[in-house]
Amino acid sequence: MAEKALFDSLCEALEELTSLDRLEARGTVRLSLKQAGLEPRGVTASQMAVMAQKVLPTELASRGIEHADRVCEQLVEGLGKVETAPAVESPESVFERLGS
Amino acid sequence: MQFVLGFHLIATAIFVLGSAVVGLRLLGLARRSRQAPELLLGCAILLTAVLGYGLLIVGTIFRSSIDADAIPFWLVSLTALAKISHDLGVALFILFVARVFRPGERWAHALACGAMLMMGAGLAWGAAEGSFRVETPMSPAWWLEYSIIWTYSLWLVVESLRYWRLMRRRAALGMADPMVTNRFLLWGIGSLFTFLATATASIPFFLIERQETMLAAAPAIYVGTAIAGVCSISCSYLAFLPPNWFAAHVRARATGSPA
Repeated sequence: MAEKALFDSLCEALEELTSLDRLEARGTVRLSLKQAGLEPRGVTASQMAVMAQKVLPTELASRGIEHADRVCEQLVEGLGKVETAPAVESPESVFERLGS
Repeated sequence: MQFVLGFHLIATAIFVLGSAVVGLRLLGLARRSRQAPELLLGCAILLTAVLGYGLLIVGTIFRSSIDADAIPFWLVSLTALAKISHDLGVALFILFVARVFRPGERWAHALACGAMLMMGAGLAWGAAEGSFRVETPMSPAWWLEYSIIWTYSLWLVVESLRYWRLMRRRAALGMADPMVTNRFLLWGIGSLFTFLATATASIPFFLIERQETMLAAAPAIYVGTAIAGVCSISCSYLAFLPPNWFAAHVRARATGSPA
């Protein structure tokens, strides 16, 4: 599924750019998604980018990662290359339509 | 008591008419968008609140002046139509919540199938025992059917309020529309009032053996059910047909500026 590819891709990139191992990288991304009110299932590239810009830097800094902002910028750049068409419609888009 | 009955009747009319407006609006949207969620929700509201409760109340008014043994065939048929419509509507609500909030999650679809099977089995079993003529409270068939009728709305409450919490976090990061965020809250609260209305309206079933208590509690039950029903449809109305003043209020609150 596209959102799984998105999540995996971001975690792998984070692993490459920092000293975090696979488990730590995935855990950090999951925690940041939760703080941003997002779920790995159904997340879009633009939502992932906002999370990476606004939540992830603090999370990485709290784990002792240096230049967290620069790491996150690189992560956001990488997100643009991932195929992101969501496989299922999110509750948000359904409820947006229900009031239109 | 006359005042209470009048209040209950007016509140019921508001509930049924309001539900008709919201349900038809969602069906109109489904016609344009050709999407399943609005079709499911629109049909669910029309079947439970308009056809289901509407016809059940009409039936109850006619039944009050007829002995149980002398209930005519047309009134039995009307009750059958009302009960089948209502339960079909409940099934569509369950399908809506499983499809929209838990797509592809096996446990949710198993829960939805289990709930629909239980309710359908209870309805069919009760019908075979004559529940369209006279309801048979406390029978196994009645428990099967009503255990779902009482609780399905709690699933709606939990999913909607859970998602509202997620949306609030997104809104704080500028990722969510305040109106859509508020819609989840309203639908959650509206579903909670649906649960309260259903629960309150069911109290008399448990007081059948205690007529004096039932008579004493009747005004409170009528008023409680009426208020919960009106609150429920008010939430649905604000969620799916928000007036301009309400939309302005929600957006102003989100930005912290006066409406």
